[in-house]
Amino acid sequence: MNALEIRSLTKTYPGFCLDNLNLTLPSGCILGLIGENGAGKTTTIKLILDMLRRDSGTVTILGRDNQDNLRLTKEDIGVVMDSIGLPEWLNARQIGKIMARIFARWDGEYYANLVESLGLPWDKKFKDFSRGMKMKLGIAVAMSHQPKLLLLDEPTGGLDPVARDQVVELFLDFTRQEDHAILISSHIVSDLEKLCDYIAFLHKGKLMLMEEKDRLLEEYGLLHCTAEQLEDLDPAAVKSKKVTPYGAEALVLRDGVPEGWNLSPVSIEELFVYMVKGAK
Amino acid sequence: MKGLMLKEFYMAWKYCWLFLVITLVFLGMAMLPSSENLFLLVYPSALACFIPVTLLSYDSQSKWDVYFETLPTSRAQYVSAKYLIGLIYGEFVLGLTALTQLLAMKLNAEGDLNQLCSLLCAIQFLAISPPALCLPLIFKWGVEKGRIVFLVMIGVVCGGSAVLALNVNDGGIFSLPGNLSVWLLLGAIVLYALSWRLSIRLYRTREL
Repeated sequence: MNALEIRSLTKTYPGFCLDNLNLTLPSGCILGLIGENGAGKTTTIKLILDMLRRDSGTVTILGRDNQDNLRLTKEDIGVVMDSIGLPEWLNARQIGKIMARIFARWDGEYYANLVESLGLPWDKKFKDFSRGMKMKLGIAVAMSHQPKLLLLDEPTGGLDPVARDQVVELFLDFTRQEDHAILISSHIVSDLEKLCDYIAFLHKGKLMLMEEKDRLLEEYGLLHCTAEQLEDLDPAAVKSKKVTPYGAEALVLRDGVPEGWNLSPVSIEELFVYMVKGAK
Repeated sequence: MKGLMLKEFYMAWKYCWLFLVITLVFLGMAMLPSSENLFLLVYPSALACFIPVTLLSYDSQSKWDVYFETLPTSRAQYVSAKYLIGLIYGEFVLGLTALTQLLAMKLNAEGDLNQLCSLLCAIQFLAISPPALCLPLIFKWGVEKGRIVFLVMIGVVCGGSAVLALNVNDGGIFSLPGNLSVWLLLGAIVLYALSWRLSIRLYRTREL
């Protein structure tokens, strides 16, 4: 079963349009949503949760339409928003007590373990937490009611490298269960590269591509050559290029490049940057 | 709903403990034999009824007003938690007002129980009307825009109690006919209930 299916989702604001978005997240997988600021990542997450009214399209979460008793579906979803949103004057203990009365399957013991293992204080007010600590508490809350789907909007933002690694491990652990899945948006593409099975690029409200990460890395490469060589190449194989007086560098489909040319592997970050530049 | 109410209680205690201190000071001063200032009696109740507005403002600041939408709660529950917390604190302060005035009547050996009932009905109406008018607008347009209405309403409460206080020497509020007092109380209840319903309706259609 797919954990999440988005079909032809459209939302228009003055000056922005999330246009005909189609995404599929199979259970047991992690889908990374990559995009610049304002690309539509947070809008997508809000539309999934029906916090915004869509213009058209459908969203199916764990086999249920998101407009069909979403409250019940939310028992199976853990969410971390970029703004986090926990009450400023409350501490981790009070927040745990509140959530225990909100979620039917709240696991207080698991929450306590997460708070301890993430090194969070019990009695310090949320407003006095650092940005990284706030994010860690948001993650602990999102994971402590036995959710099946995590929706994470920039969850590693503000975390130091050690904490980021810790959190990435948590997410990987989470998806070891077959019926668990994660949709994660982030600017920190290196984290997504470590975590994700699928990658989706959003640019100005449009989905540029969605593909298995390993397949993307297999299909695409960075070509280093002269401007003349680049001219000779099949234009369909060239996705984006950068030509300088010293030579050319291009994002290409490996299949379209003759053997023996200087082709190097491409990272997801490079792939995204080249694709966005190519789109411009 | 229980979780949302617990959160409101925690928040109200953190942010509004000073209200309780003000309430006790005002009600204490209103017990003095020479006190004829209705403002001292109305203001604590008005403050208590405005607690939901204060809490909405803090929700907006911490983005809880967006975050709660990710939880298995509904917008109707979110709105209802605010109205309930206002009602609970409002009635608690009204109860304190009644107790302190009864005590004052006993200590000062003056006053009339019927007059006290009239007074409490009027206080209830004065305290509950402004948030009842204000909250639907805040749920529709947000705290920032609603704040202007909030300030106007605070002025209405102060002005209203001042007008009533001016007439105290002529009997004023203390001599309200029993029927009118009951109508004021009923009016307050109906107004609050309608406001509650309207806020749920308006908030359901708002985009967060």
